[in-house]
Amino acid sequence: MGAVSEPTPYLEGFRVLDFTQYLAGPSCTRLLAEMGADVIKVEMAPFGDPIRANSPRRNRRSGYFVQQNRGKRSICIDFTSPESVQIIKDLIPCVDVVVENYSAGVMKRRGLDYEALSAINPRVVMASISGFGQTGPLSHKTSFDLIAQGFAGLMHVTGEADGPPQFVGAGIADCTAGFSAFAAIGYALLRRTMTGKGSHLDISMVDALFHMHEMNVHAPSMTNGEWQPRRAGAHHPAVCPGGAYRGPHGYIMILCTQGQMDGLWAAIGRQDLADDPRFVNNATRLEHVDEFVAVIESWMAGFATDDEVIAALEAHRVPCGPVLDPGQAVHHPYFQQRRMVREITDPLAGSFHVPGFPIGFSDAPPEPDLVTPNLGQHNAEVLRDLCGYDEARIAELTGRGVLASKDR
Amino acid sequence: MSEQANVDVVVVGAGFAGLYMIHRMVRTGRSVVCFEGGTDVGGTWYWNRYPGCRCDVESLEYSYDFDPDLQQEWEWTEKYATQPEILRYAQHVADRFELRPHIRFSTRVTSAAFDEADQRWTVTADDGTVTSARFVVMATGCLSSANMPEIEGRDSFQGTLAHTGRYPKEGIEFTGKRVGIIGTGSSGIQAIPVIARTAGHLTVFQRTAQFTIPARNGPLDPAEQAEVKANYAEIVAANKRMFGAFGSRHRRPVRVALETDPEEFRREMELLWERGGSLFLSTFRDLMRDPAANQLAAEFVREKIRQTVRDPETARKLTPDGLIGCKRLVIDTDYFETYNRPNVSLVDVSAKGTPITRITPTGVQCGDEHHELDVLIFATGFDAMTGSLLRVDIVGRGGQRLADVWDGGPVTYLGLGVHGFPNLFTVTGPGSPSVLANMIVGTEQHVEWISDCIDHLDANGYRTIEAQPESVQRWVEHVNSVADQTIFPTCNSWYVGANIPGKPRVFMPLLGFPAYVDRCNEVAANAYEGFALA
Repeated sequence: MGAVSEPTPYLEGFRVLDFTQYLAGPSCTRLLAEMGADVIKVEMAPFGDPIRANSPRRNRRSGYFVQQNRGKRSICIDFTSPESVQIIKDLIPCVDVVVENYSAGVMKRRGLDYEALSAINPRVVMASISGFGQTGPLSHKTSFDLIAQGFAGLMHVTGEADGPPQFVGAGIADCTAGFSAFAAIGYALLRRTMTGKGSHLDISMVDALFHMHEMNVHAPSMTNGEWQPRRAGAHHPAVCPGGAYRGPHGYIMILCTQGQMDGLWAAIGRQDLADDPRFVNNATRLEHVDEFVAVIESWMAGFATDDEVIAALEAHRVPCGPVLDPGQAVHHPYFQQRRMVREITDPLAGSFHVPGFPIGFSDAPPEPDLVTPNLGQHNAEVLRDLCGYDEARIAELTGRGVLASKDR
Repeated sequence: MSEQANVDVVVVGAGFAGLYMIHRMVRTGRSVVCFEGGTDVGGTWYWNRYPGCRCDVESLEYSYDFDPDLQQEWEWTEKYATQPEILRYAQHVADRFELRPHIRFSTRVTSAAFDEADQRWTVTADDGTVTSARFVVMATGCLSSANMPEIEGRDSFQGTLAHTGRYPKEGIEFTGKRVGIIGTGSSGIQAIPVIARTAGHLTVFQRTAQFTIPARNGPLDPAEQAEVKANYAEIVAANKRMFGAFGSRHRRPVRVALETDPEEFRREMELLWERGGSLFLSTFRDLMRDPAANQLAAEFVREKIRQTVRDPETARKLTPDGLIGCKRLVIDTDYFETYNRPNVSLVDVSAKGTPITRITPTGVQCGDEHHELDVLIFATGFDAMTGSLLRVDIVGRGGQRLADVWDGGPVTYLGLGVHGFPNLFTVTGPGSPSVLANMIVGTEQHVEWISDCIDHLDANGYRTIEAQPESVQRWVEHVNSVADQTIFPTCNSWYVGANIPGKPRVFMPLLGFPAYVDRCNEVAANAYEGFALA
């Protein structure tokens, strides 16, 4: 009667075969693992996920790897060996989900594409995450986050007007693709419950980012090119106020709709400017954005601290907030109380902070104790428990290097 | 004889809970007296001496954890220990920790009454003694109050009649005899294959067909015992995070039956069937929550029964409909195989078959048919969980009787305390995981919690602790809401008291050991919130 306790992790009982590496794929299976899925990471011998080598490391363990791979099991297979594909095929009947982020075509070359896997297990849901998708003219390309940020048009609109395009300083393409796959897998499983059939999900980093444009696609189209996407530095090209204002110490973000402008004028004690023709509506403010910024920043300069500025704005319900240094964020009560910063303890690397899980549940079970696997740590356990391999066979495969492992 | 003694603690019952309670009290310097109705220690394992009686938790896990030396030195001989071996273990513990001087054997507590003036309990025993105690710990067990159903003519039977739960110490000779057994719960299912080996003929009167899983018992591999002993602390800790506080060594990756490919499901069930034991339903998380999922497992077992039992008519009678595990899942050795013996016959006495009309001086009458018997065994179970508690006339504050307070079903806080009954503790009482968890682990957790609680009262100058009515109400709601998320409350099991006529229908055990322990610890850490300390 082991399986009735309360509350249970949402995905307890679901099993994921995880052929992912670096960030895009692992960020997806990380979320699945945190929700209780049994994630079996299949790593390529001899070194496994290349991100295992990423700095900083402590006691040979990469923080980057830990952040994305806690709670997963690891098996390590030499894919150049003829048996490797059979081992995978033996695992397929007892998994619900396969996630991979190799370059498009790699799984097919190994005989492990969706067609092959669904022939073994029609219920399997497979998510392929890549830079440019499984189809289309660029599906052959190798890619990383920044390539996608550029190609998706995000960088074109990011940075100073007269400076070079800039990228967002976080794994936005990887993690957005990972999150898209995470969501799609859930719905594919829901559909499978109704139809009994799995499906193949094609997630591209470029698509995941391109989908995020709010005005840059429809506005030029609707205005016959009159409205053009452009880099506008620290201030939004279409909303004023909408940007970063220099405060007493750092920068403070403000964004107001027209209806919130009275609050802003009241906060800075300049109700008179409400009727100023330069500032009377969004269009006029955009035309006079430099003067508008000067008004706000000179008001801010009269304060001793950024917090006081923010308090003055919040008193009038002006949407605003500081631009935090992630180092500060870690100790901020917001991130503490919402458990968005977690101190985790790794058996090798010891304790350090990682970002928490971004979804709250009304009946979440206690936070699971997630441990990062050593390379190939679960070779024997997985093949014994799931495929019924006996000890002799596992020893033989290990002896010939088909299965590999390392104590890190 | 009238003797008036004053002690800190009265313990009722010298089973595993009582023994450890005495030990803890002695070790913390408190005076304690334990009353035991039997002539020896062991409780449930003292009374249930029927042939084939075993524990269905593995011996290595059905062991005390409080003393590492005991843990290392005691040697179990079988994977699932027999009753005599478990009784020897209880006796060993009693001797090893010199607990017997604190136990008054062959003495039953008849009443316990709380005196509000001096805030002490007055405990009266059937030997005429009266004992005054600050605390009363009811270590009366969950499965020790034998249930003897009223069947017409029962007392007219001229042969040997016995209940499995009050089985004679000297045993019963079955060789060549015509033996009848009523009941196919755990006791019956354990006893039937053993009795069949020597009986001239065994007639099984089956009231309800039962799901049972092969135990796959056998001698304990010394290497396995050594390995467990080398890692006892880790294994015990891991077991305490298991739903039923056992089985971490055999844990299988969890799956969802209704989301699993039918072939994988079948393979996994075959593997679990081959392994045997109480973890049979533990791989798939939805079996005990979703009747549709449960039926997949139930059908798997029904198929096994049909494959095992050669006579199709007997197989049909033995095949349960309904849900598996909803009543206590039994584990057996050669149960279904036994019906292939020529000297065993099955009578379906359910409403669908030929119910027992009466017991006669020479046998059992079922409709037109009379079954001549020399021996009749009642394997009819227990008035579970509350039976032994209510056999003592417990009178709390304001003269209220526990039997009246529980008239609509047992209500407790944490399964440890009852409003209106200060300084009275129930070990593995209703509302605690009790029978749905490893009983030894459960009793140890309760004894330690109670002992720590008494320490806390003393250290802070409190004289009494009493569950508050709101916390009792909330706890009962909690126990029910947890159960209502499962299929458990839907069956007529002894978990809901359905085996005892007139017993109020309440789901008594709390599902899930780990969450329960976390809650108990939280309550203690928050100065025993939910209890009134005075």
